[in-house]
Amino acid sequence: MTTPSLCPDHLLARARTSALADGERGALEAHLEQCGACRAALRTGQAFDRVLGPQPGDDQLATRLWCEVERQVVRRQSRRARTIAAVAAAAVIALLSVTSVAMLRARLGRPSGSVVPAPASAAARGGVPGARAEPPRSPSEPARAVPSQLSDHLPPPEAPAMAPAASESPAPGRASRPSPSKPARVRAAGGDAPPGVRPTDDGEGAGALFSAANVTRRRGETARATEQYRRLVKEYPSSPEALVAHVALGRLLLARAGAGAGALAEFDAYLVAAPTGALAEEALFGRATCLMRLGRDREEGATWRQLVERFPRSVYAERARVRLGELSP
Amino acid sequence: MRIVRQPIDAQAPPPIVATDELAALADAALRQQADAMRTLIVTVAPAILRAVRSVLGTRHPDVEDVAQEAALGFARALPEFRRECNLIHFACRIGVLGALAARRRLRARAEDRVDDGFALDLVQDGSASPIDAAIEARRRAALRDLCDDLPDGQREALVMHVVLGMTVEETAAACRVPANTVRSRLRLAKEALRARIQADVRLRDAL
Repeated sequence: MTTPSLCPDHLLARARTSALADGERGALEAHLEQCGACRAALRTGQAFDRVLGPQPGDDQLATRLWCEVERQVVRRQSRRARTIAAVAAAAVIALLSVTSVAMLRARLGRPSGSVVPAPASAAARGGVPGARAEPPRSPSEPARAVPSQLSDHLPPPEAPAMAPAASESPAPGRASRPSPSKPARVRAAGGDAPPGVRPTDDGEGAGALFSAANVTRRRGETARATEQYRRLVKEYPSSPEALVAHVALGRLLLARAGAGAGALAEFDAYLVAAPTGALAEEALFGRATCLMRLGRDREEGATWRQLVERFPRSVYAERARVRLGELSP
Repeated sequence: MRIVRQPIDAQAPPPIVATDELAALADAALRQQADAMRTLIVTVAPAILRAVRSVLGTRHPDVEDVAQEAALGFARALPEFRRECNLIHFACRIGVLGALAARRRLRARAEDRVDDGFALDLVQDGSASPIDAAIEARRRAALRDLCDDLPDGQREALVMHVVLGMTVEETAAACRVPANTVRSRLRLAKEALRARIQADVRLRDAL
């Protein structure tokens, strides 16, 4: 019978991460002799320790995680902050306008403390008693003339509070484009995206389609995801999303039996469009894997060599060297 | 009624102190500094991946997607982070919960390849003999299967303590429950694990 409340759980945890002192080790071993539950837990934990280390490609995976966080969280927060700044600036402008009207009235000889008249439209709409009671406005003092006289009191069009929003806010048709910085996916696909690959007016649709394809892929509907990625490439060929979609398509097709040639075409499309892109490493790996499956040894060897030469510290480099050794006569 | 006492070892580690070398980075990220958020995500990504792989299997095809959801959850939850634990453990817990939920979804869809890391774990594990590696893979599978049957609190504590190696205090801080609650959950979960292993003829002898 075990006595679980007495289990030295802290020793169990430390036994896997650091050396125990002699006394601690003895105490733990004595406990393990009696407690089957702790014995099972420790051995199972050690079994996990053997396989939970870093995996090849984790660095790239971490970068992809960041790209998604940037796209779905950081940019939205940034847009929200800009919206709040714009609303705040509009409120300040409105306040200044009201204040300026009051000052103008005072300058024109109204007694201090008089009520600022409601706009004519409001008076007409609601029949506000105060509006009816105000003294008649002279013809030379129309309500519409006030804004022009207020211009001296208003902040310049590019007030400091508005400057960042004005400089960063994109054109109306591209509300979600990450201008002026490069889109995350351009960075993901290579911060040095080629001239032909740039955000376009249709980038909004491309982004939505790309997100939809990602969601579909996550659901495990690979056939539909493949179709959506293909549609993205076809309809928005110059968008950065389409560039990344080539690699995504390649990976999806690579997992499908008999689609090696199709996958190869996708990886090649990426490498042609962005030979120095950040996904070039993965595209090269995918290309070499496709060629291996297709039995095109010479091209496969050349691709592995290119991968090793360009990315000697790549997580795929070891695999490439092994495969090159197998291919060498 | 069983009285749960404190561990006999008086040198048990003290409660977690909210000192975290990533705290400054988190502050900068909360001030919407994109570079800080990027560094933070890349720093906690290995912990998230480890947590997700521990539940799904090291080579499960959904690891990346689940890790991505966890990373998004981490970024979104950052403003509510109360600094009761360190950020790595905070990220670990999000990864564990996300992976457990994903595992539940996969099983609901009768996708029984949740543990397809079995054979691949075996291949990857070059340090042990093939027999030992097979036994260890079976242990991992037994724990993952057990997670499907345990109550939420127990399986969460089991994964964080037994699989990820977090201490009771770290687990308690990350889960925002008292340490004795975690001890109680662990006691039940470890006993269930022992029973599960003993029920497996091939593991019983190795226990």
